[in-house]
Amino acid sequence: MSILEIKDLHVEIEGYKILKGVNLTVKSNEIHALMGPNGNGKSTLVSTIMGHPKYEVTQGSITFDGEDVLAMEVDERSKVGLFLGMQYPQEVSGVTNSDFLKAAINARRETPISLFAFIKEMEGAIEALDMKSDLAHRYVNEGFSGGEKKRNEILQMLLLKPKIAMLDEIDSGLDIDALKIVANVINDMVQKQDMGMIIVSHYERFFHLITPTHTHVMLDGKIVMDSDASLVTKIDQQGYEWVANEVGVEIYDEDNSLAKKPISIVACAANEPRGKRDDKF
Amino acid sequence: MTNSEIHVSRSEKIILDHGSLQSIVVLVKDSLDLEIVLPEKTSGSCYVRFNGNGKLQMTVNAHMDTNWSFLIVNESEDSIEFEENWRLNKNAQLQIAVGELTSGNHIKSVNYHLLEEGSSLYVRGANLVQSKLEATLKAIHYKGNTTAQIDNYGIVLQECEYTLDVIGKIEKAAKNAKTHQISRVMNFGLKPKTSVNPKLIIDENDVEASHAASMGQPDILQVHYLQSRGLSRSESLKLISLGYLLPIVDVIEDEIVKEKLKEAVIEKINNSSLM
Repeated sequence: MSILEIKDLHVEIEGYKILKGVNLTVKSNEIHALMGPNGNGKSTLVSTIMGHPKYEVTQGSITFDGEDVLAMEVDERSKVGLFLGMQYPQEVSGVTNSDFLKAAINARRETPISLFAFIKEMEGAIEALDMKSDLAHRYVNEGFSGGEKKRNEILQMLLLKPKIAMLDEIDSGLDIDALKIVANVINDMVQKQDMGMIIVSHYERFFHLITPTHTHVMLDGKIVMDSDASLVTKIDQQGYEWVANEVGVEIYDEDNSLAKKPISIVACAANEPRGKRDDKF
Repeated sequence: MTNSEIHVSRSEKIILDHGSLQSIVVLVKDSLDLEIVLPEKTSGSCYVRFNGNGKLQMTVNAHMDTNWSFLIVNESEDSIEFEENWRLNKNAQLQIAVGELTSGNHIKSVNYHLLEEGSSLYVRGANLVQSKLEATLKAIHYKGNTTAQIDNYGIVLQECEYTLDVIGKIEKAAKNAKTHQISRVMNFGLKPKTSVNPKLIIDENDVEASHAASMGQPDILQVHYLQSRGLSRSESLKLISLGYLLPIVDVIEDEIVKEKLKEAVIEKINNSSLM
Protein backbone atom coordinates (compact mmCIF):
# COMPACT_ATOMS: atom_id res chain seq x y z
CA MET A 1 0.00 0.00 0.00
CA SER A 2 1.43 3.37 -1.05
CA ILE A 3 0.25 6.71 0.32
CA LEU A 4 0.80 10.17 -1.12
CA GLU A 5 -0.07 12.84 1.43
CA ILE A 6 -0.30 16.55 0.72
CA LYS A 7 -0.80 18.83 3.70
CA ASP A 8 -1.48 22.58 3.72
CA LEU A 9 0.41 23.06 0.46
CA HIS A 10 1.08 26.64 -0.61
CA VAL A 11 2.77 27.28 -3.96
CA GLU A 12 3.84 30.42 -5.78
CA ILE A 13 5.13 31.17 -9.25
CA GLU A 14 7.03 34.42 -9.76
CA GLY A 15 5.52 35.81 -6.57
CA TYR A 16 1.91 34.89 -7.45
CA LYS A 17 0.15 32.65 -4.95
CA ILE A 18 -1.48 29.80 -6.80
CA LEU A 19 -2.04 27.07 -4.22
CA LYS A 20 -3.32 28.39 -0.91
CA GLY A 21 -3.47 25.38 1.39
CA VAL A 22 -4.17 22.10 -0.41
CA ASN A 23 -4.83 18.91 1.55
CA LEU A 24 -5.14 15.59 -0.27
CA THR A 25 -4.37 11.93 0.47
CA VAL A 26 -4.13 9.36 -2.33
CA LYS A 27 -3.66 5.64 -1.69
CA SER A 28 -3.06 2.60 -3.89
CA ASN A 29 -6.09 1.53 -5.93
CA GLU A 30 -7.77 4.88 -5.47
CA ILE A 31 -8.70 7.05 -8.45
CA HIS A 32 -9.03 10.73 -7.58
CA ALA A 33 -10.73 13.00 -10.10
CA LEU A 34 -9.46 16.57 -9.77
CA MET A 35 -11.79 19.08 -11.36
CA GLY A 36 -12.18 22.82 -11.44
CA PRO A 37 -12.21 25.79 -13.82
CA ASN A 38 -9.01 26.74 -15.68
CA GLY A 39 -6.43 28.62 -13.67
CA ASN A 40 -7.49 27.43 -10.22
CA GLY A 41 -4.45 25.28 -9.42
CA LYS A 42 -5.02 21.73 -10.70
CA SER A 43 -1.98 21.58 -13.00
CA THR A 44 0.10 23.49 -10.46
CA LEU A 45 -0.68 20.83 -7.84
CA VAL A 46 0.39 17.83 -9.94
CA SER A 47 3.37 19.71 -11.42
CA THR A 48 4.55 20.67 -7.94
CA ILE A 49 4.31 17.08 -6.76
CA MET A 50 6.60 16.13 -9.67
CA GLY A 51 9.03 19.00 -8.91
CA HIS A 52 8.47 21.46 -11.77
CA PRO A 53 11.37 23.94 -11.53
CA LYS A 54 9.20 27.05 -11.86
CA TYR A 55 6.96 26.39 -8.87
CA GLU A 56 8.05 27.41 -5.40
CA VAL A 57 6.59 25.68 -2.35
CA THR A 58 6.26 28.28 0.39
CA GLN A 59 4.43 26.23 3.00
CA GLY A 60 3.17 22.72 3.69
CA SER A 61 4.39 19.21 2.97
CA ILE A 62 4.21 16.37 0.47
CA THR A 63 5.14 12.88 1.63
CA PHE A 64 5.18 9.54 -0.17
CA ASP A 65 5.11 6.50 2.07
CA GLY A 66 6.33 8.79 4.84
CA GLU A 67 9.28 10.17 2.88
CA ASP A 68 9.62 13.90 2.22
CA VAL A 69 8.95 14.35 -1.50
CA LEU A 70 9.93 18.03 -1.44
CA ALA A 71 13.44 17.06 -0.37
CA MET A 72 13.82 14.71 -3.36
CA GLU A 73 15.30 15.54 -6.76
CA VAL A 74 12.85 15.15 -9.64
CA ASP A 75 14.38 11.83 -10.75
CA GLU A 76 14.18 10.49 -7.19
CA ARG A 77 10.45 11.24 -7.16
CA SER A 78 10.12 9.15 -10.30
CA LYS A 79 12.20 6.33 -8.88
CA VAL A 80 10.13 6.06 -5.68
CA GLY A 81 7.05 5.53 -7.84
CA LEU A 82 5.54 8.89 -8.80
CA PHE A 83 4.60 9.66 -12.40
CA LEU A 84 3.11 12.68 -14.15
CA GLY A 85 1.55 12.36 -17.58
CA MET A 86 1.99 15.93 -18.74
CA GLN A 87 -0.50 18.25 -20.38
CA TYR A 88 2.20 19.52 -22.74
CA PRO A 89 4.83 16.79 -23.15
CA GLN A 90 8.25 18.06 -24.20
CA GLU A 91 9.83 17.26 -27.55
CA VAL A 92 13.40 16.00 -27.38
CA SER A 93 14.94 16.24 -30.82
CA GLY A 94 17.45 13.61 -31.87
CA VAL A 95 16.61 11.22 -28.99
CA THR A 96 14.62 8.17 -30.01
CA ASN A 97 11.75 6.92 -27.87
CA SER A 98 13.52 3.63 -27.55
CA ASP A 99 16.81 5.14 -26.28
CA PHE A 100 14.89 7.39 -23.89
CA LEU A 101 12.69 4.64 -22.46
CA LYS A 102 15.54 2.18 -22.13
CA ALA A 103 17.50 4.81 -20.17
CA ALA A 104 14.44 5.53 -18.01
CA ILE A 105 13.86 1.83 -17.26
CA ASN A 106 17.55 1.25 -16.53
CA ALA A 107 17.62 4.27 -14.20
CA ARG A 108 15.44 2.29 -11.76
CA ARG A 109 17.21 -1.06 -12.11
CA GLU A 110 20.45 -2.35 -10.68
CA THR A 111 21.30 -4.26 -13.84
CA PRO A 112 20.36 -2.97 -17.31
CA ILE A 113 17.35 -4.54 -18.98
CA SER A 114 18.28 -6.97 -21.76
CA LEU A 115 17.60 -5.82 -25.29
CA PHE A 116 15.23 -8.75 -25.82
CA ALA A 117 13.22 -8.00 -22.67
CA PHE A 118 13.07 -4.30 -23.53
CA ILE A 119 11.86 -4.89 -27.07
CA LYS A 120 9.23 -7.31 -25.78
CA GLU A 121 7.95 -4.81 -23.22
CA MET A 122 8.01 -1.93 -25.67
CA GLU A 123 6.18 -3.88 -28.36
CA GLY A 124 3.60 -5.04 -25.84
CA ALA A 125 2.95 -1.45 -24.73
CA ILE A 126 2.75 -0.20 -28.32
CA GLU A 127 0.21 -2.91 -29.10
CA ALA A 128 -1.84 -2.25 -25.96
CA LEU A 129 -2.12 1.42 -26.93
CA ASP A 130 -2.66 0.68 -30.62
CA MET A 131 0.24 2.92 -31.63
CA LYS A 132 2.31 2.83 -34.80
CA SER A 133 5.09 0.26 -34.80
CA ASP A 134 7.73 2.83 -35.80
CA LEU A 135 7.23 4.68 -32.49
CA ALA A 136 10.39 3.24 -30.97
CA HIS A 137 12.54 4.80 -33.68
CA ARG A 138 10.92 8.23 -33.71
CA TYR A 139 12.38 11.13 -31.75
CA VAL A 140 10.64 11.78 -28.43
CA ASN A 141 7.35 13.56 -29.23
CA GLU A 142 8.84 15.32 -32.27
CA GLY A 143 6.33 15.55 -35.09
CA PHE A 144 3.73 13.75 -32.98
CA SER A 145 0.09 14.76 -33.22
CA GLY A 146 -1.58 15.94 -30.00
CA GLY A 147 -3.18 12.53 -29.53
CA GLU A 148 0.09 10.68 -30.17
CA LYS A 149 1.85 12.76 -27.53
CA LYS A 150 -0.80 11.89 -24.97
CA ARG A 151 -0.68 8.21 -25.83
CA ASN A 152 3.09 8.33 -25.58
CA GLU A 153 2.71 9.60 -22.02
CA ILE A 154 0.53 6.60 -21.21
CA LEU A 155 3.05 4.31 -22.90
CA GLN A 156 5.76 5.67 -20.60
CA MET A 157 3.50 5.12 -17.60
CA LEU A 158 2.87 1.55 -18.70
CA LEU A 159 6.58 0.79 -18.98
CA LEU A 160 7.69 2.62 -15.83
CA LYS A 161 4.98 1.05 -13.64
CA PRO A 162 4.50 3.86 -11.08
CA LYS A 163 2.79 3.41 -7.72
CA ILE A 164 0.93 6.71 -7.91
CA ALA A 165 0.33 8.27 -11.33
CA MET A 166 -0.98 11.73 -12.09
CA LEU A 167 -2.49 12.53 -15.47
CA ASP A 168 -2.91 16.18 -16.39
CA GLU A 169 -5.66 16.57 -19.00
CA ILE A 170 -4.39 13.47 -20.73
CA ASP A 171 -7.77 13.10 -22.47
CA SER A 172 -7.48 16.37 -24.42
CA GLY A 173 -6.41 15.62 -27.98
CA LEU A 174 -7.65 12.02 -27.85
CA ASP A 175 -10.52 10.92 -30.05
CA ILE A 176 -13.21 8.69 -28.58
CA ASP A 177 -11.60 5.44 -29.75
CA ALA A 178 -8.21 6.45 -28.38
CA LEU A 179 -9.88 7.51 -25.14
CA LYS A 180 -11.31 4.01 -24.70
CA ILE A 181 -7.94 2.40 -25.40
CA VAL A 182 -6.19 4.66 -22.88
CA ALA A 183 -8.93 4.10 -20.29
CA ASN A 184 -8.59 0.32 -20.67
CA VAL A 185 -4.84 0.52 -20.03
CA ILE A 186 -5.33 2.76 -16.99
CA ASN A 187 -8.07 0.57 -15.50
CA ASP A 188 -5.91 -2.50 -16.04
CA MET A 189 -2.94 -0.89 -14.25
CA VAL A 190 -5.10 0.16 -11.30
CA GLN A 191 -6.55 -3.35 -10.95
CA LYS A 192 -3.43 -5.44 -11.58
CA GLN A 193 -0.69 -3.19 -10.19
CA ASP A 194 -2.67 -1.46 -7.42
CA MET A 195 -1.72 1.88 -8.91
CA GLY A 196 -3.23 4.97 -7.30
CA MET A 197 -4.18 7.95 -9.48
CA ILE A 198 -4.91 11.64 -9.64
CA ILE A 199 -6.67 12.48 -12.88
CA VAL A 200 -7.13 16.09 -13.96
CA SER A 201 -9.84 16.39 -16.58
CA HIS A 202 -12.66 18.71 -17.58
CA TYR A 203 -14.75 16.03 -19.20
CA GLU A 204 -17.32 13.67 -17.78
CA ARG A 205 -16.89 11.24 -20.67
CA PHE A 206 -13.38 10.32 -19.45
CA PHE A 207 -14.76 9.60 -15.98
CA HIS A 208 -17.44 7.38 -17.51
CA LEU A 209 -14.62 5.17 -18.73
CA ILE A 210 -12.54 5.45 -15.57
CA THR A 211 -14.77 5.60 -12.52
CA PRO A 212 -13.22 7.75 -9.80
CA THR A 213 -13.33 6.60 -6.20
CA HIS A 214 -13.02 10.23 -5.10
CA THR A 215 -13.85 13.54 -6.78
CA HIS A 216 -12.42 16.89 -5.71
CA VAL A 217 -13.16 20.41 -6.87
CA MET A 218 -10.42 23.05 -6.79
CA LEU A 219 -11.34 26.70 -6.63
CA ASP A 220 -8.94 29.58 -6.05
CA GLY A 221 -6.03 27.35 -5.07
CA LYS A 222 -7.86 25.09 -2.62
CA ILE A 223 -9.77 21.84 -2.69
CA VAL A 224 -13.19 23.10 -1.64
CA MET A 225 -15.37 20.03 -2.15
CA ASP A 226 -14.84 16.25 -1.92
CA SER A 227 -17.28 13.57 -2.97
CA ASP A 228 -17.59 10.42 -5.09
CA ALA A 229 -18.17 9.87 -8.82
CA SER A 230 -21.63 11.44 -8.64
CA LEU A 231 -20.02 14.88 -8.28
CA VAL A 232 -18.53 14.57 -11.79
CA THR A 233 -21.99 14.23 -13.31
CA LYS A 234 -23.38 17.12 -11.30
CA ILE A 235 -20.53 19.41 -12.41
CA ASP A 236 -21.00 18.33 -16.02
CA GLN A 237 -24.65 19.34 -15.79
CA GLN A 238 -24.46 22.44 -13.59
CA GLY A 239 -20.91 23.82 -13.85
CA TYR A 240 -18.96 25.30 -10.92
CA GLU A 241 -21.02 28.34 -9.91
CA TRP A 242 -23.12 26.34 -7.45
CA VAL A 243 -19.95 24.94 -5.84
CA ALA A 244 -18.55 28.45 -5.43
CA ASN A 245 -21.82 29.68 -3.93
CA GLU A 246 -22.11 26.68 -1.61
CA VAL A 247 -18.61 26.97 -0.17
CA GLY A 248 -18.41 30.76 -0.38
CA VAL A 249 -15.30 30.94 -2.59
CA GLU A 250 -14.80 33.12 -5.62
CA ILE A 251 -13.87 31.36 -8.87
CA TYR A 252 -10.47 32.54 -10.10
CA ASP A 253 -10.99 34.21 -13.46
CA GLU A 254 -8.01 33.06 -15.51
CA ASP A 255 -8.67 35.36 -18.47
CA ASN A 256 -8.96 38.58 -16.49
CA SER A 257 -6.14 37.85 -14.09
CA LEU A 258 -3.60 36.72 -16.62
CA ALA A 259 -4.40 39.64 -18.87
CA LYS A 260 -3.04 41.97 -16.21
CA LYS A 261 0.36 40.33 -16.01
CA PRO A 262 1.32 37.21 -17.94
CA ILE A 263 3.15 34.45 -16.10
CA SER A 264 5.68 32.44 -18.06
CA ILE A 265 6.14 28.77 -17.35
CA VAL A 266 8.17 28.13 -20.48
CA ALA A 267 11.89 28.56 -20.98
CA CYS A 268 14.12 29.62 -23.83
CA ALA A 269 15.34 26.57 -25.70
CA ALA A 270 18.29 26.21 -27.97
CA ASN A 271 16.65 23.22 -29.52
CA GLU A 272 13.71 24.32 -31.59
CA PRO A 273 11.93 21.91 -33.94
CA ARG A 274 14.08 20.95 -36.87
CA GLY A 275 13.22 22.64 -40.08
CA LYS A 276 11.73 25.72 -38.50
CA ARG A 277 12.88 28.83 -40.27
CA ASP A 278 13.40 32.06 -38.40
CA ASP A 279 13.67 34.10 -41.57
CA LYS A 280 12.33 33.37 -44.99
CA PHE A 281 12.87 35.33 -48.15
CA MET B 1 33.08 -2.61 -44.62
CA THR B 2 35.56 -0.38 -46.42
CA ASN B 3 36.91 -1.66 -49.72
CA SER B 4 40.25 0.04 -49.21
CA GLU B 5 42.09 2.35 -46.84
CA ILE B 6 44.39 5.00 -48.27
CA HIS B 7 46.96 6.65 -46.02
CA VAL B 8 47.99 10.15 -46.98
CA SER B 9 50.89 12.02 -45.40
CA ARG B 10 52.07 14.17 -48.33
CA SER B 11 50.31 16.09 -51.09
CA GLU B 12 48.33 13.73 -53.26
CA LYS B 13 45.51 13.34 -55.77
CA ILE B 14 43.07 10.50 -55.17
CA ILE B 15 40.52 9.31 -57.71
CA LEU B 16 37.68 7.36 -56.10
CA ASP B 17 36.20 4.27 -57.71
CA HIS B 18 32.51 3.87 -58.43
CA GLY B 19 30.33 1.96 -56.00
CA SER B 20 32.79 1.66 -53.19
CA LEU B 21 33.18 2.70 -49.60
CA GLN B 22 36.67 4.10 -49.36
CA SER B 23 38.52 5.21 -46.30
CA ILE B 24 41.17 7.92 -46.40
CA VAL B 25 43.37 8.58 -43.39
CA VAL B 26 45.18 11.91 -43.60
CA LEU B 27 48.13 12.82 -41.40
CA VAL B 28 48.87 16.53 -41.64
CA LYS B 29 52.44 17.68 -41.04
CA ASP B 30 53.19 21.35 -41.65
CA SER B 31 51.34 21.72 -44.97
CA LEU B 32 49.48 19.24 -47.15
CA ASP B 33 47.44 19.50 -50.37
CA LEU B 34 44.87 16.81 -51.01
CA GLU B 35 42.68 16.52 -54.09
CA ILE B 36 39.85 14.00 -54.24
CA VAL B 37 38.23 13.35 -57.61
CA LEU B 38 34.79 11.86 -58.04
CA PRO B 39 34.73 10.78 -61.70
CA GLU B 40 31.72 11.39 -63.93
CA LYS B 41 28.67 9.16 -63.29
CA THR B 42 30.06 7.57 -60.15
CA SER B 43 28.51 7.10 -56.74
CA GLY B 44 29.65 5.71 -53.43
CA SER B 45 30.76 6.58 -49.90
CA CYS B 46 33.98 7.96 -48.53
CA TYR B 47 35.19 8.15 -44.93
CA VAL B 48 37.96 10.71 -44.36
CA ARG B 49 39.80 11.04 -41.06
CA PHE B 50 42.27 13.80 -40.23
CA ASN B 51 45.05 13.78 -37.73
CA GLY B 52 48.21 15.77 -37.08
CA ASN B 53 49.16 19.41 -36.94
CA GLY B 54 49.52 22.07 -39.64
CA LYS B 55 47.70 23.39 -42.66
CA LEU B 56 45.51 21.29 -44.93
CA GLN B 57 44.23 22.36 -48.32
CA MET B 58 41.64 19.93 -49.63
CA THR B 59 39.75 20.11 -52.90
CA VAL B 60 36.98 17.69 -53.80
CA ASN B 61 35.94 17.70 -57.44
CA ALA B 62 32.54 16.14 -57.97
CA HIS B 63 32.13 15.70 -61.69
CA MET B 64 28.89 15.50 -63.65
CA ASP B 65 26.18 13.08 -62.50
CA THR B 66 27.91 11.97 -59.32
CA ASN B 67 26.23 10.97 -56.07
CA TRP B 68 28.49 10.55 -53.04
CA SER B 69 28.20 10.45 -49.26
CA PHE B 70 31.12 11.67 -47.17
CA LEU B 71 31.94 11.29 -43.53
CA ILE B 72 34.61 13.77 -42.48
CA VAL B 73 35.99 13.31 -38.98
CA ASN B 74 38.69 15.44 -37.44
CA GLU B 75 40.57 13.31 -34.92
CA SER B 76 43.40 15.73 -34.25
CA GLU B 77 43.84 16.68 -30.61
CA ASP B 78 46.38 19.22 -31.84
CA SER B 79 45.78 22.11 -34.27
CA ILE B 80 44.87 22.03 -37.96
CA GLU B 81 43.98 24.92 -40.23
CA PHE B 82 41.62 23.59 -42.86
CA GLU B 83 40.94 25.16 -46.22
CA GLU B 84 38.41 23.05 -48.08
CA ASN B 85 36.92 23.62 -51.50
CA TRP B 86 34.15 21.32 -52.64
CA ARG B 87 33.32 21.77 -56.35
CA LEU B 88 29.99 20.41 -57.57
CA ASN B 89 29.46 20.12 -61.31
CA LYS B 90 26.27 19.40 -63.23
CA ASN B 91 23.84 17.17 -61.30
CA ALA B 92 26.47 16.33 -58.68
CA GLN B 93 24.90 15.38 -55.35
CA LEU B 94 26.88 15.33 -52.11
CA GLN B 95 25.77 14.37 -48.61
CA ILE B 96 28.44 15.28 -46.08
CA ALA B 97 28.55 14.45 -42.37
CA VAL B 98 31.20 16.36 -40.44
CA GLY B 99 32.31 15.38 -36.95
CA GLU B 100 34.42 17.73 -34.83
CA LEU B 101 34.71 15.96 -31.50
CA THR B 102 38.25 16.55 -30.28
CA SER B 103 39.84 18.79 -27.70
CA GLY B 104 42.07 20.29 -30.37
CA ASN B 105 42.25 23.89 -31.50
CA HIS B 106 41.12 24.20 -35.11
CA ILE B 107 40.31 26.75 -37.79
CA LYS B 108 38.12 25.75 -40.74
CA SER B 109 37.31 27.60 -43.93
CA VAL B 110 34.99 25.46 -46.06
CA ASN B 111 33.60 26.57 -49.41
CA TYR B 112 30.96 24.58 -51.24
CA HIS B 113 30.88 25.71 -54.89
CA LEU B 114 27.65 24.80 -56.66
CA LEU B 115 29.06 25.36 -60.14
CA GLU B 116 26.46 23.86 -62.44
CA GLU B 117 22.72 23.34 -62.65
CA GLY B 118 21.25 20.40 -60.78
CA SER B 119 24.01 20.23 -58.20
CA SER B 120 22.87 19.72 -54.62
CA LEU B 121 24.49 19.56 -51.24
CA TYR B 122 23.46 18.46 -47.76
CA VAL B 123 25.86 19.04 -44.86
CA ARG B 124 25.23 17.95 -41.29
CA GLY B 125 27.81 18.98 -38.71
CA ALA B 126 28.20 17.68 -35.18
CA ASN B 127 30.58 19.72 -33.06
CA LEU B 128 31.55 19.02 -29.49
CA VAL B 129 33.76 22.00 -28.69
CA GLN B 130 36.18 21.11 -25.92
CA SER B 131 38.76 23.80 -26.63
CA LYS B 132 38.52 26.22 -29.56
CA LEU B 133 36.92 25.96 -32.97
CA GLU B 134 36.54 28.69 -35.59
CA ALA B 135 34.55 27.65 -38.64
CA THR B 136 33.34 29.48 -41.72
CA LEU B 137 31.06 27.47 -43.98
CA LYS B 138 30.02 28.99 -47.27
CA ALA B 139 27.67 27.68 -49.96
CA ILE B 140 28.05 29.61 -53.21
CA HIS B 141 25.44 29.13 -55.92
CA TYR B 142 26.86 30.08 -59.30
CA LYS B 143 24.05 28.57 -61.39
CA GLY B 144 20.31 28.12 -61.12
CA ASN B 145 18.45 25.05 -59.85
CA THR B 146 21.11 24.34 -57.27
CA THR B 147 20.36 23.40 -53.67
CA ALA B 148 22.34 23.66 -50.45
CA GLN B 149 21.27 22.78 -46.92
CA ILE B 150 23.81 23.23 -44.15
CA ASP B 151 22.72 22.04 -40.70
CA ASN B 152 25.21 22.56 -37.93
CA TYR B 153 24.78 21.46 -34.32
CA GLY B 154 27.25 22.36 -31.61
CA ILE B 155 27.80 21.79 -27.94
CA VAL B 156 30.25 24.10 -26.23
CA LEU B 157 31.73 23.05 -22.92
CA GLN B 158 32.75 25.29 -20.02
CA GLU B 159 35.25 28.01 -20.87
CA CYS B 160 35.57 26.87 -24.50
CA GLU B 161 35.35 29.01 -27.61
CA TYR B 162 33.27 28.49 -30.74
CA THR B 163 32.85 30.87 -33.67
CA LEU B 164 30.59 29.77 -36.49
CA ASP B 165 29.89 31.77 -39.64
CA VAL B 166 27.52 30.16 -42.12
CA ILE B 167 27.03 31.98 -45.41
CA GLY B 168 24.63 31.24 -48.22
CA LYS B 169 25.50 33.20 -51.37
CA ILE B 170 23.38 33.20 -54.50
CA GLU B 171 25.07 34.79 -57.49
CA LYS B 172 23.37 36.71 -60.29
CA ALA B 173 21.80 34.32 -62.85
CA ALA B 174 21.32 31.53 -60.30
CA LYS B 175 17.54 31.47 -60.65
CA ASN B 176 15.63 28.91 -58.58
CA ALA B 177 18.62 28.36 -56.34
CA LYS B 178 17.77 27.20 -52.84
CA THR B 179 20.07 27.86 -49.93
CA HIS B 180 19.10 27.00 -46.37
CA GLN B 181 20.93 26.74 -43.09
CA ILE B 182 20.19 25.74 -39.51
CA SER B 183 22.68 26.46 -36.74
CA ARG B 184 22.00 25.35 -33.17
CA VAL B 185 24.44 25.73 -30.32
CA MET B 186 23.97 24.61 -26.73
CA ASN B 187 26.30 26.07 -24.14
CA PHE B 188 27.27 24.42 -20.89
CA GLY B 189 28.54 26.39 -17.94
CA LEU B 190 28.66 30.12 -17.49
CA LYS B 191 31.79 31.00 -19.42
CA PRO B 192 31.61 29.59 -22.96
CA LYS B 193 32.47 32.12 -25.66
CA THR B 194 30.16 31.37 -28.53
CA SER B 195 29.37 33.39 -31.62
CA VAL B 196 27.01 32.18 -34.35
CA ASN B 197 26.65 34.35 -37.44
CA PRO B 198 24.25 33.25 -40.18
CA LYS B 199 24.42 35.28 -43.40
CA LEU B 200 22.53 35.28 -46.67
CA ILE B 201 23.83 37.20 -49.68
CA ILE B 202 21.33 37.19 -52.52
CA ASP B 203 21.96 38.67 -55.97
CA GLU B 204 19.07 37.09 -57.87
CA ASN B 205 15.28 36.97 -57.76
CA ASP B 206 13.17 33.82 -57.75
CA VAL B 207 15.28 32.03 -55.17
CA GLU B 208 14.70 30.40 -51.79
CA ALA B 209 16.91 31.27 -48.86
CA SER B 210 16.53 30.88 -45.13
CA HIS B 211 18.51 30.70 -41.96
CA ALA B 212 17.66 29.64 -38.45
CA ALA B 213 20.05 30.08 -35.60
CA SER B 214 19.72 29.56 -31.88
CA MET B 215 22.11 29.53 -28.99
CA GLY B 216 21.44 28.97 -25.32
CA GLN B 217 21.68 26.84 -22.24
CA PRO B 218 19.97 23.43 -22.09
CA ASP B 219 16.20 23.80 -21.93
CA ILE B 220 15.20 23.41 -18.28
CA LEU B 221 11.81 22.01 -19.24
CA GLN B 222 13.38 19.30 -21.39
CA VAL B 223 15.70 18.42 -18.52
CA HIS B 224 12.73 18.34 -16.13
CA TYR B 225 10.78 16.09 -18.50
CA LEU B 226 13.59 13.54 -18.70
CA GLN B 227 14.23 13.72 -14.97
CA SER B 228 10.54 13.14 -14.31
CA ARG B 229 11.03 9.73 -15.93
CA GLY B 230 13.86 8.81 -13.58
CA LEU B 231 16.98 10.04 -15.36
CA SER B 232 19.40 12.05 -13.23
CA ARG B 233 20.24 15.60 -14.30
CA SER B 234 23.57 14.40 -15.63
CA GLU B 235 21.95 11.54 -17.59
CA SER B 236 19.33 13.95 -18.95
CA LEU B 237 21.95 16.42 -20.17
CA LYS B 238 23.89 13.63 -21.85
CA LEU B 239 20.77 12.36 -23.60
CA ILE B 240 19.85 15.86 -24.81
CA SER B 241 23.43 16.34 -26.04
CA LEU B 242 23.35 13.04 -27.89
CA GLY B 243 20.12 14.17 -29.48
CA TYR B 244 21.99 17.21 -30.75
CA LEU B 245 24.89 15.34 -32.25
CA LEU B 246 23.77 11.80 -33.10
CA PRO B 247 21.52 12.57 -36.10
CA ILE B 248 24.78 13.08 -38.00
CA VAL B 249 24.86 9.30 -38.45
CA ASP B 250 21.69 9.45 -40.56
CA VAL B 251 23.74 10.94 -43.38
CA ILE B 252 25.84 7.76 -43.58
CA GLU B 253 24.57 4.71 -45.44
CA ASP B 254 27.12 2.10 -44.41
CA GLU B 255 25.85 0.39 -41.23
CA ILE B 256 29.31 -0.43 -39.85
CA VAL B 257 30.64 3.12 -40.28
CA LYS B 258 27.35 4.44 -38.89
CA GLU B 259 27.66 2.27 -35.77
CA LYS B 260 31.32 3.23 -35.26
CA LEU B 261 30.51 6.92 -35.46
CA LYS B 262 27.57 6.48 -33.08
CA GLU B 263 29.83 4.76 -30.57
CA ALA B 264 32.43 7.52 -30.92
CA VAL B 265 29.87 10.27 -30.31
CA ILE B 266 28.41 8.44 -27.29
CA GLU B 267 31.89 7.91 -25.84
CA LYS B 268 32.81 11.58 -26.29
CA ILE B 269 29.60 12.76 -24.66
CA ASN B 270 29.89 10.27 -21.79
CA ASN B 271 33.43 11.45 -21.10
CA SER B 272 32.55 15.14 -21.22
CA SER B 273 31.77 17.34 -18.28
CA LEU B 274 28.32 18.63 -19.16
CA MET B 275 27.11 19.94 -15.80
